[in-house]
Amino acid sequence: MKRTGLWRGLTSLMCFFLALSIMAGNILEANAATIDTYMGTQSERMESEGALYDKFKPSAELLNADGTGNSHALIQKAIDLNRRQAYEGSVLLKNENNVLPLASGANVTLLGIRSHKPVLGSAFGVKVWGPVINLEQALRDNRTDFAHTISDSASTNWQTGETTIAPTMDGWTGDEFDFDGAGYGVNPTMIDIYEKLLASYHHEYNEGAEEVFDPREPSLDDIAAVNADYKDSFTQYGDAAIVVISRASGESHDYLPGGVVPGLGMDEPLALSQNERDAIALAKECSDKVIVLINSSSAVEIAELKNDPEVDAILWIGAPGAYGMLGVADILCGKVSPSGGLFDIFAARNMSAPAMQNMGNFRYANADGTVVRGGGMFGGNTGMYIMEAEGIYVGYRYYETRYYDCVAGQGNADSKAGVYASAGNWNYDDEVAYGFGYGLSYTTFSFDFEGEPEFKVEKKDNGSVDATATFNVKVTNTGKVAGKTSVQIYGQAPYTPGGLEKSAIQLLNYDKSQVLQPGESEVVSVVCDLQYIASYDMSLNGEGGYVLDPGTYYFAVGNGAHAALQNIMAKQGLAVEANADNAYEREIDESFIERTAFSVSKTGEKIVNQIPYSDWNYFQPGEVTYLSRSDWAGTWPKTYDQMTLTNQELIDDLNGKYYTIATDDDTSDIIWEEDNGTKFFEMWGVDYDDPKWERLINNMTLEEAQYLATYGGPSIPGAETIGTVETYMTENAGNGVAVNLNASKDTGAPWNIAVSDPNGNWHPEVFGNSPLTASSFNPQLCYDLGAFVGEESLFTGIPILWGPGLNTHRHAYNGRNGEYYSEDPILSGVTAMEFAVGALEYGLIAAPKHYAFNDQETNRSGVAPYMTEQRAREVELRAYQYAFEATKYDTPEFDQGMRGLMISFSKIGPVECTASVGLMTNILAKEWGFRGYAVTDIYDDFDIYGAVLTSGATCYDTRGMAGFYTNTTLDGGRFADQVDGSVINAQVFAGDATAQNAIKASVHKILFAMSQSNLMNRYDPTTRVVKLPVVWRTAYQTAEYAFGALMVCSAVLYLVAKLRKKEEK
Amino acid sequence: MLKKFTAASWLTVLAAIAGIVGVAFMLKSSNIDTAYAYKTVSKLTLMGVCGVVLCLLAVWTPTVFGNHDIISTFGAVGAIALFMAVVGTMVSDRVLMIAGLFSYNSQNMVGWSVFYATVTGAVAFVLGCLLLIVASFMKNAKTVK
Repeated sequence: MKRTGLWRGLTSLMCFFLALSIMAGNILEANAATIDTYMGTQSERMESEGALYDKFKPSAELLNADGTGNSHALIQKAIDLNRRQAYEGSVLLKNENNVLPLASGANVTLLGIRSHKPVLGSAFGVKVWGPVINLEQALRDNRTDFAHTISDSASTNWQTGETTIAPTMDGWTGDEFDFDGAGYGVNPTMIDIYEKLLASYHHEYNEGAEEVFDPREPSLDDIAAVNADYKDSFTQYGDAAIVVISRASGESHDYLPGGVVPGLGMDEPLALSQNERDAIALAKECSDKVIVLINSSSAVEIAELKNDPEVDAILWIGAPGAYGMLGVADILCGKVSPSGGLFDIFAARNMSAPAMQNMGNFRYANADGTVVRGGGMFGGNTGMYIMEAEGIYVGYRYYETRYYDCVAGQGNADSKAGVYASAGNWNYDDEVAYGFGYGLSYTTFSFDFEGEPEFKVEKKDNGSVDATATFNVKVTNTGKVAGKTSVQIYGQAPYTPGGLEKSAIQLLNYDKSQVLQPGESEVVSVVCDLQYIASYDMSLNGEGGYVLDPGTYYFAVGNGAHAALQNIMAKQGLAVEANADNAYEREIDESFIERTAFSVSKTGEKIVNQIPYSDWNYFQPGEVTYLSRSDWAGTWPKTYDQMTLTNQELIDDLNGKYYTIATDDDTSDIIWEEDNGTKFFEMWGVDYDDPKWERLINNMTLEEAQYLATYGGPSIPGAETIGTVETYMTENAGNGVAVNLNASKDTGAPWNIAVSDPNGNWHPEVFGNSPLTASSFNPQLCYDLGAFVGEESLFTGIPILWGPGLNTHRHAYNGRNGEYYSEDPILSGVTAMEFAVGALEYGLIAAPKHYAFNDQETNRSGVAPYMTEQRAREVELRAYQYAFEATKYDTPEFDQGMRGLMISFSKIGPVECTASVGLMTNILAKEWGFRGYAVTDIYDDFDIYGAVLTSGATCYDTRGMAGFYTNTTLDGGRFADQVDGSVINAQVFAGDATAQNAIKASVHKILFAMSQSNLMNRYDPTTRVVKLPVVWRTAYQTAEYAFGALMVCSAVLYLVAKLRKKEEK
Repeated sequence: MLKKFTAASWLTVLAAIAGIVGVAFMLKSSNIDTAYAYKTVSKLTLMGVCGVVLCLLAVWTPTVFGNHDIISTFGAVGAIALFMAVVGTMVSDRVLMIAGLFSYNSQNMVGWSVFYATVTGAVAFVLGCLLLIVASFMKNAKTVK
């Protein structure tokens, strides 16, 4: 009797464990690629019998003599490049009495808790991983202490409110590195105090913006409570006091207007708190040399420091990355003269930007019951919007244009509207602390136009016009130390009051000089594409287009936008003190170039309105007034917080009714399964327009093409008919590839870093935030950063990078400004283009994000930003246009272009960017000639499958999904809930010719991008995927066999016992 | 029939109730938001209900065929297999969402509701399995004279 119970129980128990093992196995296999990334395992490998790895390889300096990878050299190169990023990008804003550089051997005191724990990266997004060099080490030491200096970050669970702080890496047992630091003595007393205070004032090297912000700066009482005699240390370390003020940046959260913890002595999150002011006051007690480091990716309100005579120097350092503090130290000690210019304008009060009138949480008054579309897997709310009523007046374009109109006495510029810092009427000097592009050096430079600028106009066969102006600027170092400087060329188009809106000044292009010795000169040539001084006229011929209004155009060089504008104004005879010789005027009329010449894109496409629905007034006329310089006071944006939806087209768009999948089209002329023998491995170097692509894609089955057009990575499906295999292919981010060296997806590469390598745990996301790169105004640095990340991609086996960020800064409160370059589209576009072209040198496809209009993180999953198409094109899209046309790198035989893109969560007007044919096909592909991989953001818009796959988007970001055709299929639950009621499966497009052709086009773009990437290192006719016996696979399979066998045994023994019992009876 | 009930019988009844709770929360988890609906919800419901029926069978048949009868034994084993199959599908379908909640998507309140319903359902099913296992080792019918 007992035995039947025993075997019966064991049968049940073993059944339970067997089921558990099967369940675990299924989940592990379905997420194998992700598990590999995080565990550092390799569960499958691409194998081939041919000679491979002949198309892209790392530079020789990163390889050992036998061709294997040298991890030490790789990390050393990252250290050097991050250091260069920091010293080229940091911006010296103030340097009274030449207090900087500090003398060698100085003993300094670091103040402010962030001097001990500065912001190096973002809490989420472009995080800095692994070991770092902090400020005190860079100033004091000459060898890294990676083993004890690991970056960390906090994670807050929104459901429970619990915050945990954890290092980004368990520990570092790899190499340490020598470096030449500043050689200063650093006050150990304050370091010790701040270290102790970190226990209660939690800070991490990676932090993000917070809706209700507290800088968590200890008070002087807090400091005294740790060590009452701390001021005694100032005597020994009083050569200078360096205060660090930090504001963090990160994905998914913004700063919000008035969003501060009460009682801190601050009314806005980017203003200084009382404790921060007290830290600066303490610095004044400590030393007669007070230096403030602004450690932020957003404009901090520092007008009070600018005007404080006891604050001697201000140096903006961004979020400098893992090793960037070495570059900061280089500037402080004078090894390098600073040469950066501000990425954004630093207003006295950030709320004075007109965009701030409409930033944050806005929901349609009648959203409930009207906007019925669900929020999707991201859980967003589709009833949210923002009204970008500032029009084209974003960042410096607003402040400088209003300044110009104040001086020129037009448009009620000198009124009280928009006053936040002026005592009376609006006054530039009160409203602005430091202008866009501005930056000081330890030396001085003169700028002189060398000869007449060269204007060229060339009409192309396709109807487009190439028109450029080349400015040869002789830069002379007129100071006493060596230094380099950017050469920024700005332009002004003629404005007619009441006519088309135009900024009084805009950056056209820039370059940077070499390091010039005192007295040395260099002629820097800057080529400006005149299409970027044209304006978009939505009413042109009733269909829209760019115009270059006849009139007098002005161009100028200057230390930032304000100086350039003043030079132009001096040329115009307006009452300003500036150098008119640094401005140039040119009459441009139709004898030089047609007014509408730029209404044909470089691809020959006629440019017309493509996103009229971006404008709220398109649906409900007259309800929104956009800011106009014809009347600053009368059009100053109001806060549009109670918009009511009445137009049915608008409501339908918000509810996702964009596309209905056809069922009975004639698709007989669309070729699939041709079986002509063409394989993917043959496509290396084949031009996009080569008919061979058509033959390749004709081989595929519709199902294979649909898989490829659906699952955009990280794991991308294979297609047997063309010889491709499922591959883990994409990863984040803009500051490095998010895969550890020893977790490479391409372990077959000759340079693969072995799991046993002491530096194998190194994580390549180490570089500083994007504004730091942009502020360098150095295209070559941006190229070199992209090229290095490209090399990282060879070591990590990732051919597509989801980055860099390329949205323009609409205002300082966007929590993600650290991932985007600038408020200026040209600065952003040049920086991204150089990065991407550099990356492609090593076969890495950089996919800038988020195309487009991701202007705030608040409600980012589906917020509807409304704006004029002029604003959309001239401000936000222009950054992408510059990068994607990549004209600089075009030759008569080769169109450079870009090969990757990530689409925004955001809408444009009421239409999802992912589903906007105007945005994805007509502008991106037809106007700019984009040919490449265009993926949605993570899990975005799964409920409008037909619309997304036919818009010009090439695929979805399907992170975590793998095991295609088996574990992950087209008829799984991911696309279960469609707005149009359609059922998604492999046959859904059988009767839809439009969708089938769109899928062909998407597959063409994806495969073309892949064919130009370092993925081709791994392809030949024998390429296949082999599953490997990793720990977790062996474990679950062993468990399945063991528990299966035990269950069967138990069941048999139970039956035997049962039979015996019956026989006994 | 109740006279023949043992502690194991009552544990099996509790397992059936746990299965009902599991099915209820599985359905709740699927119906909170259309974006998180299980595409195979009908199949999952059927499997869960079959598991409950097998539990009830495992309670009833010993009262007819005696202690540790074959039908109740394989009923319990079958119920365990079905319950775990439902749990496996539930968890597998939710892995990406759960990973998101604990990383980049923690502000997804709908997701958290789905998560809690899923966890509750899965815990109920697993609890049912554990009760069945314990009951399997025990005498499941009294001999009534």
